[in-house]
Amino acid sequence: MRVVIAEDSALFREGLARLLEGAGLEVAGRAADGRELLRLVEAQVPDIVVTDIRMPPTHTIEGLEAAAEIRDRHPEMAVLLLSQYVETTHALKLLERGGDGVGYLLKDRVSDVRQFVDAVRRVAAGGSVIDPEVVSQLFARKRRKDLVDELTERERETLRLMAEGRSNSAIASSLHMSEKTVEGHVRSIFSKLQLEPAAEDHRRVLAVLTYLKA
Amino acid sequence: MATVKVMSADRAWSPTAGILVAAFIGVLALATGALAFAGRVSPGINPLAGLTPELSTTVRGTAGLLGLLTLAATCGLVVWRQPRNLFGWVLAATVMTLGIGSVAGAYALYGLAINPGSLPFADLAAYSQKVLPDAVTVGAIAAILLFPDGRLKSRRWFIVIAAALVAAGADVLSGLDDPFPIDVGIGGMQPVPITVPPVLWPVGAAFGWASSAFIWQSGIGLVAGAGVITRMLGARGDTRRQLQWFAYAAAVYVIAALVGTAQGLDSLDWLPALVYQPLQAFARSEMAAGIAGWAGFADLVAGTILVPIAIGIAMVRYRLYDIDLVVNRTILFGGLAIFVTGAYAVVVAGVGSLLGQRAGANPVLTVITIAVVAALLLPVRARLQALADIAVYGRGARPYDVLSGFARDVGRAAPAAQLLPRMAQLLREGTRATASEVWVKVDERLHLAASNPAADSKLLVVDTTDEIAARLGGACRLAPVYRDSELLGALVVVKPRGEHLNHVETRLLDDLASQAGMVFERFRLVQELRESRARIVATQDAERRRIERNLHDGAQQRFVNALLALGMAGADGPVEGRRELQAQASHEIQAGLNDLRDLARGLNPPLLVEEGIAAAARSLADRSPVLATVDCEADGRYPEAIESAAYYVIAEAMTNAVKHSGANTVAVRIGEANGQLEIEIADDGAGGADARRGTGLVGLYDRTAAVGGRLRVDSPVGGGTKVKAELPCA
Repeated sequence: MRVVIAEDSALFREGLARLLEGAGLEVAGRAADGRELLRLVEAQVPDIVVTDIRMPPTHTIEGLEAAAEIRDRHPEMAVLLLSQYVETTHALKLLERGGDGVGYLLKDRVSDVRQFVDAVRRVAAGGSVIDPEVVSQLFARKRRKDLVDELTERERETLRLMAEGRSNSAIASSLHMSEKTVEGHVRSIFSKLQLEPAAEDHRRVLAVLTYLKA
Repeated sequence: MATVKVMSADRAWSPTAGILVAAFIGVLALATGALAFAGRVSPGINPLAGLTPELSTTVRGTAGLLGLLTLAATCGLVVWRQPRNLFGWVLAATVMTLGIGSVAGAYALYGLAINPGSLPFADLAAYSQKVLPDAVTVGAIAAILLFPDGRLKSRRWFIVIAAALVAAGADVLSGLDDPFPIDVGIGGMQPVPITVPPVLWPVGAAFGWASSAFIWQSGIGLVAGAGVITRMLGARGDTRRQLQWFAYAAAVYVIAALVGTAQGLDSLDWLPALVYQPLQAFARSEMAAGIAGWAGFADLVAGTILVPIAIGIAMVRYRLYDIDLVVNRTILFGGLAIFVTGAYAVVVAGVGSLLGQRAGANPVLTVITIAVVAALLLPVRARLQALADIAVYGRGARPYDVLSGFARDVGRAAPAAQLLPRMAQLLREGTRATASEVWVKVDERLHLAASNPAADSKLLVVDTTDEIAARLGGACRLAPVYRDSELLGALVVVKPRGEHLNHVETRLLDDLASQAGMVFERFRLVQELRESRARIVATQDAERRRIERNLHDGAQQRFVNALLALGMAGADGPVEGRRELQAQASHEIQAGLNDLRDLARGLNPPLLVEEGIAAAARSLADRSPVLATVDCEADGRYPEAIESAAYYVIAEAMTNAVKHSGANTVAVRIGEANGQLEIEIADDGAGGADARRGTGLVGLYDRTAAVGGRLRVDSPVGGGTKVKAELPCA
């Protein structure tokens, strides 16, 4: 699997590259800003881009803009955004263009190397990974009475973990219930959110989106 | 074209010609006076009411003498200043003729009536009186038509002069059959006991049909007067004012002449008896005689003194624009005089005659008159003043209303933002200007704060009052506004082309400027406070962004790096690599802590809170990358806000010295004097720091001003920078 990294802090960029290479990924390019990232993406056509959001020259949302452009040009290319803080607005903007193959994580998550590498792989495989911080922020938000309100407390927790990109087995162990029960909750969520039968992964993303936008 | 010609004539002065003309007429005047006073009492003179015949003669003689001398001066002045102006020469010739006539008249009177046979050729002098007055009339009409630039309004007006010549000729010829005696003197008032040679009588008789030629002359005079008025209405600027002066004097002359015919009311016998009887009683009263006598005298004074003075002012253009004030006052006082006289006439003569008593004989009526006049004087005066103001200034604002109106607004403490446009409006209306502007100095520069009519862009800013004047051209007049000899701004009015402010308007502008100081200061303070607040908010925002950036790129990044290193150390790998990663994580955490500490100290230096400004300043100096010394004479503690401001000034000035001026050393001095904490930071850098540019210094000004202190920055280019702050600490 080939990765292009964009990050303006040299120390963090090199560390990240070392981390990913240690996990067996091929780091095909390292950029220090958005423009360089776009150039490298065109030159290398990696499977996944891991980029910081805030980079020179304006130190605002260069990474986010670059990600949008990459998704426009290469809809199949996965993008994982890293940031020192999370903004639900950024997360929604990212997911509105389609939730498969996108991720949004706090930089803090690198401390659990295994989980981080796992997230990178899942995003690269077309999954969506949203930082738990975003999810809890969205949960804290006062929401409209709508489809999501139909969900039970258990189903909502399941959905929250789905939004973080967890598999059924991970959810089961996290909520201390059997995988069968989780599967039942997931089916119930799909029907309550009125999602037509389709590939499970796709429906998972749609469920998460419905949830996030509510 | 005419204006240009007058301008060039202005420059070519001719003192010699002027002096000669004035001297010649002056000699004639003195000769007249000498002859008049030699006799003291002229036969046939109508004595002025209340005066003896001797005194009347003296008064009249004096007035005549003064009149001729005034005319002499005027003619001299006009010829001197405008030797190429035909008007001056026509006027001079006319007045010379008048002077010769006066001398001849007085000569004839003395030689034929007062002291018969004492003078040779007295009869010839008397005969000259048959010709000279007509010549004067023609000259006067020509002068009227040539005023003020020596050109006729158009060629057609030459017909009027020709008509005057014909009428004068007819009058002279028809007068040759005059029966005994000949009347001489100004106005043909006084008889001398001779007649024209009998050989000429048939000539006079042949022209008898022209005996009413003097009425034609009056008609032609009226046409000439109408010419002046039409010319005045069509003129602008200076020319209009010149004509106004002339018209004003002429009007006074005509009105006095009309009043002089008070006794003529006797002839209005076609009126209803109820109206006619009191008029007749009045006309036959001593009072009517008195009024007529004095009005005649006023007529003499108006004609020979007022008219020449008006002409002089008009031609020399001295206080040309005060005509408004003069007309205003004339209407007021003339009106009052008419009111008092009228009241007296109605009560004493009118009521008295109805009661069948002799006018003036009843003291009760006199007392009633005084009471009526006293009771009505003030209201009548107010009405007359309003009337005079409307006549002169129109129905718009009057200068004094403007001032009192403005004072009222100031008294109500209306916000300066409203007062200034109001001020501009009043200024424009009060001075009848085409535009007015109010400039206020804010932050050392002059800002256009208000204008009337309102300007499109309000963002005009200049450095000096000269720039304002240059912007508006020569047509403006500017009054600077001072307070304690500090320039606070300026008031500007723009007059129409060729117009100037008159005396009242000038005073209004100056008075308004002297009253505006307080308002300007208020406006400036409000404006500066507003700008300072905006700067403080902007500074706060910038500071927040700086801190966020600092945290994001500093401590936060360090800790994320540490997390990364720790995460990798926790993953599978060789032990050596793990140690290295742990050491790296530890280093990153330490660096992050240092970043946080520096940031916290910058926000609120703990040393300042704990130990005071001296210790905090020494700590700043210790950490400075250049050689910094602290000389501290004041080691006490001060209010928190003062210490904080002092620290901020020192820190910012030191930062500037290091960052911008390339200094090698910085000397900080802290002292206390007269209840002020004095902070001085001097560096040996490049200098040239400008308080107006660069946010750092402006921030210092705001910061010191916020605690009531003062900041001075002395930064000559190449001479280092010295920042001195005085903060109240008592």
